[in-house]
Amino acid sequence: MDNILDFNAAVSRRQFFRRNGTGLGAAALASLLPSAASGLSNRKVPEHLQKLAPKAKRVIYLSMLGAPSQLDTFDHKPKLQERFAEDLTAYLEDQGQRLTGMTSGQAKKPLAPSIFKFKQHGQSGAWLSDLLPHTAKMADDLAIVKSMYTEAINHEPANQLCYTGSQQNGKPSIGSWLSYGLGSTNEDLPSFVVLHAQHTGQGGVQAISSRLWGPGFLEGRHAGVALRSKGDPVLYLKDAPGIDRKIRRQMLDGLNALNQKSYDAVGSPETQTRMQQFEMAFRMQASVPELTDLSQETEKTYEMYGPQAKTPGSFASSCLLARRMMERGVQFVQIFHRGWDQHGNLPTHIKDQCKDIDQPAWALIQDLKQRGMLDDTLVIWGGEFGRTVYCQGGLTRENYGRDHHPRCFTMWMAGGGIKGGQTYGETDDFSFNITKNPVHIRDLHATMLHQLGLDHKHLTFQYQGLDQKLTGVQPAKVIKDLII
Amino acid sequence: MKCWITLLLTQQAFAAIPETVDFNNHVQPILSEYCYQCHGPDSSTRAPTSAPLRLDREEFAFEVRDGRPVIIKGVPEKSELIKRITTKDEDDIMPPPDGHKPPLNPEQIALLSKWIEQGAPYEEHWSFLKPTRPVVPKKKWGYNTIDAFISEKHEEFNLKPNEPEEPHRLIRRISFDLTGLPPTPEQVKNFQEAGSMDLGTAVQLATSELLGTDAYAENFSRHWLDAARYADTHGIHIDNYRSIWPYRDWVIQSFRKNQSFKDFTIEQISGDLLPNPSLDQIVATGFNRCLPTTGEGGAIDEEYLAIYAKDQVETTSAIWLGLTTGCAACHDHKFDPISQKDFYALTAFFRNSTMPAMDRNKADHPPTTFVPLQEDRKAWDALKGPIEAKKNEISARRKAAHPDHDTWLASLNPTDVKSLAEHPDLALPLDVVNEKLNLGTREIDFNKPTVTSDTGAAPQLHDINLELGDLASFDAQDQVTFGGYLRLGEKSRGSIISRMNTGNDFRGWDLWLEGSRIGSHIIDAWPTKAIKAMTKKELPLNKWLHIMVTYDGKSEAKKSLTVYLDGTSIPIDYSHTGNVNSTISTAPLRLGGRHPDSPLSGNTAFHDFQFYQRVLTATEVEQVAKKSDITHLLSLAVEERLPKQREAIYSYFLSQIDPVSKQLKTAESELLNNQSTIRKKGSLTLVMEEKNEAAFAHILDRGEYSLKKEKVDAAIPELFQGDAASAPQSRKELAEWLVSEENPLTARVTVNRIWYYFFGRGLVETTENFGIMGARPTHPELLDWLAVEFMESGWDLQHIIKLITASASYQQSGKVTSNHREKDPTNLYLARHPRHRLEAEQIRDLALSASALLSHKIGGPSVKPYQPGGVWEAVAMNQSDTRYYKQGSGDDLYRRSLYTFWKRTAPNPAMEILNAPSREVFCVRRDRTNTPLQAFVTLNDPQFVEAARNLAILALGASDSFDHRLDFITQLLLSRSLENDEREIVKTTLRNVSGEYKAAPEKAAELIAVGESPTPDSLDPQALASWTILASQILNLDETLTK
Repeated sequence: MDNILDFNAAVSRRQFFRRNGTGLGAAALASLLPSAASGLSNRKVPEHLQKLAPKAKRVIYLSMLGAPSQLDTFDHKPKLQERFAEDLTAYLEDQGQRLTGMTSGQAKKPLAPSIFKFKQHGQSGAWLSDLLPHTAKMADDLAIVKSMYTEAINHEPANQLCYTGSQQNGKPSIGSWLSYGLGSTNEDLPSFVVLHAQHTGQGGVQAISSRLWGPGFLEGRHAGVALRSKGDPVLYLKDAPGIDRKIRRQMLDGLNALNQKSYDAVGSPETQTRMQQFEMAFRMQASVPELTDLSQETEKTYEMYGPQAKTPGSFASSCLLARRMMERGVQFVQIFHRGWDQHGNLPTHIKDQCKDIDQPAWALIQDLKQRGMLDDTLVIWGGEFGRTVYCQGGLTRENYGRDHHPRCFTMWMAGGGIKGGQTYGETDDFSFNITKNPVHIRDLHATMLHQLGLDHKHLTFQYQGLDQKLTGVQPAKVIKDLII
Repeated sequence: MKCWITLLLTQQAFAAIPETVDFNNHVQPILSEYCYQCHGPDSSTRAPTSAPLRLDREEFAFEVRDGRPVIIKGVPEKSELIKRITTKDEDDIMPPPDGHKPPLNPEQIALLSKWIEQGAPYEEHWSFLKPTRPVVPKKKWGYNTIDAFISEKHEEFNLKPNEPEEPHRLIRRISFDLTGLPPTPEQVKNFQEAGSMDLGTAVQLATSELLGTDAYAENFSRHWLDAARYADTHGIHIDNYRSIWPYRDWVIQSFRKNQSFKDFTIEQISGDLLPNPSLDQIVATGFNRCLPTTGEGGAIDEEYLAIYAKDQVETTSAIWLGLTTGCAACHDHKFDPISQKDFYALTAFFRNSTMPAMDRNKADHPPTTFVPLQEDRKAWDALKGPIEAKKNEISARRKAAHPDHDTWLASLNPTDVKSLAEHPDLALPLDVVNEKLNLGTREIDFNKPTVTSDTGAAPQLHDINLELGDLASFDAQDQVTFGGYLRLGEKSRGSIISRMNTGNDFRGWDLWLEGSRIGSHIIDAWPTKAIKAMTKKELPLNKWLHIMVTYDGKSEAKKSLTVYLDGTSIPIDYSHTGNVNSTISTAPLRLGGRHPDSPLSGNTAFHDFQFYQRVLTATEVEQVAKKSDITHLLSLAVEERLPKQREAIYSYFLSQIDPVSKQLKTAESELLNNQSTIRKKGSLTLVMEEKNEAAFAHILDRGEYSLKKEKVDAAIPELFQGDAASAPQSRKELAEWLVSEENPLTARVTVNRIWYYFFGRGLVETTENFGIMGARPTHPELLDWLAVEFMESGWDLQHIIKLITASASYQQSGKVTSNHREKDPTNLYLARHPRHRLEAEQIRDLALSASALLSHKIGGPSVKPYQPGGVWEAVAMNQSDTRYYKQGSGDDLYRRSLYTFWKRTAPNPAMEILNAPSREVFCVRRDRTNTPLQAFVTLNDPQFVEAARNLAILALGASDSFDHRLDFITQLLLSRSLENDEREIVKTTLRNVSGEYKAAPEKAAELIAVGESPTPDSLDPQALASWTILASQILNLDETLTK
């Protein structure tokens, strides 16, 4: 402990683990310190975690908030056409599924077949509706999971389960767990970034809370950094008006010199860390604008992402930005796209929503592929639950709405060691129950961690006396069929 | 086996094994980490299922199994426990390889062996035993008892404590710890002077002085509000505004008067259940209403009631008991002896509330109580009696006025009756007699159908369009009232009466009918510069209605119109609220359509048009409507009048004629006005209210609200139940138990939290967890001594605070020496003062205070200081009333940070970046990180740039000399003057940036324009900009941000 560096590392390490009462957590030595501060290698995965060879190095999670209807996109139920308006009240009572307060009082639950046309696509013959023509083109890259399920039936708890692994408040988000478990690979950018994409659909817009990208009981620096499309991309990033780079540099040089004196006098390692953080801030003032400046992208790229690609804050622009972050070593990007909660006028609203995301999502996969990055970049698409086969509100041949449905819904994954060109899991005729290969949200989490080289059972943090995990206390499994 | 242990003995690890192995300190941490998962308190996971083994309680650990217990006292090598942790057999080894625990290390095995060798004594977990006053070690260093305990550890670990801190640093530390604000230069000077004679006395004086300030109350309230998860929004889903800031103000008042922690607790947990509770005691119960709630459509009541009760139990447990009881919501606690039943028995205390599960996204989610501002309290209470008395007098007069009424009635003649009508500025009777339409002063021909009205024949406005003359003109800024009697024959569309120029963008006004809704246009140029509003509800057909519209050109467009139906205002919808500059029109007043080409159809009848050049009050309109009524009633023959009509005449007499009643009414309405003025200034606040039944709950299987099991009564955990008869059964008894001496935890947990406020880490590091998996105290005897001292002082927080600041442990310097570095790098044993970054609110308050921007106003509604645009919109739902952040102005920008509006789903970003918690769950220990995003806040947030500019303004005004100006700034921010070498650095910065601003004066102008506060014109912009940079440099120093 004579060496001041060791001392600094020890103190800072303590600080980072200070929620931890009785010793270090099982994981995450890697994230002890930003490399600049510790002089340690910045990606030092703890020994017992190194057993798994990572297939993916980074993740883009396309979160469709509000829950897209599986019945109108991926889960093709041709037989339902003949049963238009059949009352499912009795069937539902048999199922014992709890219904939300929005339709539990509805006298009839008439069956609403999708009005959208389905076709098979690619060599795998995956079924997709004509709402997603671009997604259809890449069917052979996708693992479409039709058998996702959850327990939550309302948005708040369901989103929390999806993005923090628990319906309860206070748990760390996926990206925070990854930041904790994998550390950072870029000194100039945060490792977990969140984007809020604008949406066109005007049906059901759900609230969203920073808890979905919050650090929970993990240390605050693991929180997702929300990049904004208006104003500063990172809050307070830009120097105040009238302060240019040169003046800022002069000011920081003086600041550093003064802080150094203070360190010499008192010897607190915190002072050194602070000096490094101010320097990192200075570097971010260059790296973040460089990241978010899309002007160097080619017209061809813009074309690929579609007509919205040049509109800041659009889903297309967000996808493009996500690709740039992947190139620069950001590990986890989450794009939130709201507006999928279509309790009424679903056909109109879902068209708008699909149009927002279809081409950009396809372009993102192509773009990653062209740059040789799809193999180690995992892309996930989906919402927090599914929607009901029966209609909420008035049903006509052309118009219907759908309530929340937790027992089955569809998500897709691509890249990052995922076995594409397959549709996994099956549901019954009403897209009500899963009939084959159920995948819980926590299984998705376990599979995702596995691809990143992390064992969900070992990625733990001791809090409130428990080894807390993203996948929670109930057993989770890696879905082997989904991975190469 | 023996040989293996011998082998161990030779290993170095064994050298660290203590002479006597202590169960609490050495054994239990190992057992809880490796064994309790399957052999602990949780009955559901205890293994093996055939014959579950339990190791956490002595009474089970020595049970005979297969002929002998797993622990054989004194004989480790024969104990199955040791065999199982040392074997190489994959099937037998513990913990089992399929769990994720690694095998025990040799040191741990040696500890367990030695413990068994010494007879395997069990002990109750340390924090479950009542604290007793320990023997105070002989003091070898320092000033008071705290130091005696602290120095004992110094000796044990060969640590050399520091010298006392330099006085300016010490007073800065005390000031921040107590008030969250820096000391003023004057306070520093006084302290230095007093300290040079006797530092101890100086500290004592400063402590007492600061404890008596509002700033102290605000700072400690802010700590408490973290724990209470106080926020200004509901928190879930739509996340609308919640009205609960009076609770926050109650907390401040409580700290201000140093309320005993005992009463502080009892009032917050159960103020509503105290005998004759005061308003304050009821407001205090807002503590249990600070939890996040939902109003999400479709959410299930039962589910959320279970979630709420869990939150309330977890919060109460963490704050008072330091226990993580929430773990027992789904299963018996894995480590602490808290069963699932215990948990649900605790929830019962909170589930007996009248609070509905859904907050309906309303600010006043019941139950609530109204709280006047502190300064209005007296007046508010004083009004109750007189209002009550006035009401009694009025009703007495009502009973007694019959003789006067009869006299009045008898004296009435027909002319008098007519004169009862109000006097409008324009009155057009519009009744039809002999095919003439009566315009009051003249008549015009009218030979169309009519409809019978109360006063004769009214014109039917079918296909007619009559010019009435240059009447009833008004302009956009005027205030007017117009209307009359209307009868709708069928649904129709068009103007009933208007003054509107259809050829000039429809400039003018009208009384407009659309279907059977009524409303008005006020138009400058249709449709952009126009106001239009219609009644929300459809009006009945074939019935005479009295319609009045008031237009207030001095009010904003969206509030300018009011529509009255039969004397009562009814809701309207605005479809147009444009900017109307003028409504003056050359068109005449017209009955039955705006224009000859757009007549009204549908058998609409209208008469008795009245126009006033002012906005009638609601009462006046009511009178107008009723007075017309009275003329009708009085026109009836006495014997024809129904009882109801007689009653109406009597009411009319009382309200309009009888001088006694009128005088009483005037006096009453004055009182009511006063009351409503106070009401507007005060606020409702969410409180607790008990149901009228005994508290109970159901055990919920796996925590699922739908899986109800056994019903349980409210009770504290069995572990703490002494005498069953005195066990708490109500929320009030729970509160009393929490702060009773029977409870081993509350005093320890509370003094520990205070210790954490001063030293940045509790004596028990896990301030929220004193259970088996929580940290062990670094100084167990000191903790107990402080806990006993706290209870015996009458739960006096300030007593403990004074002990802390008076200690040498607190007053020593923060300098890190090589001795510290070597022996105690993490400063567990306090041979130096721990140096920490200030908390979020303290940093912002420091900037505001040093720059003299800080407002000293206390309490009131939360405020909205600077915040980057778009933070709320990014997360809010369209219908949320906290979707758009409307930044305040003036004082609101400069209030102390604890008054910043707290939206749970998007807290103020500057505060959040600096580790303020989201307030979605309790927080008794904040994160303390050091990130580049924090640098951005203090460098670039307009709040901090503006503070730097104001500091620069003050410094420039204070002196012409560089050194004095610099001293001015550093005295405020650092409480000291810089050394010469430091000055040189600042001077270099000044030289550099001055050069830049000289070369680019427009940049200087931009910088000094940041923030709403003014800049004196007299100052040279380039000098001000340069000094703003300097002030910002000092503001961003590590030393500034640290205490």
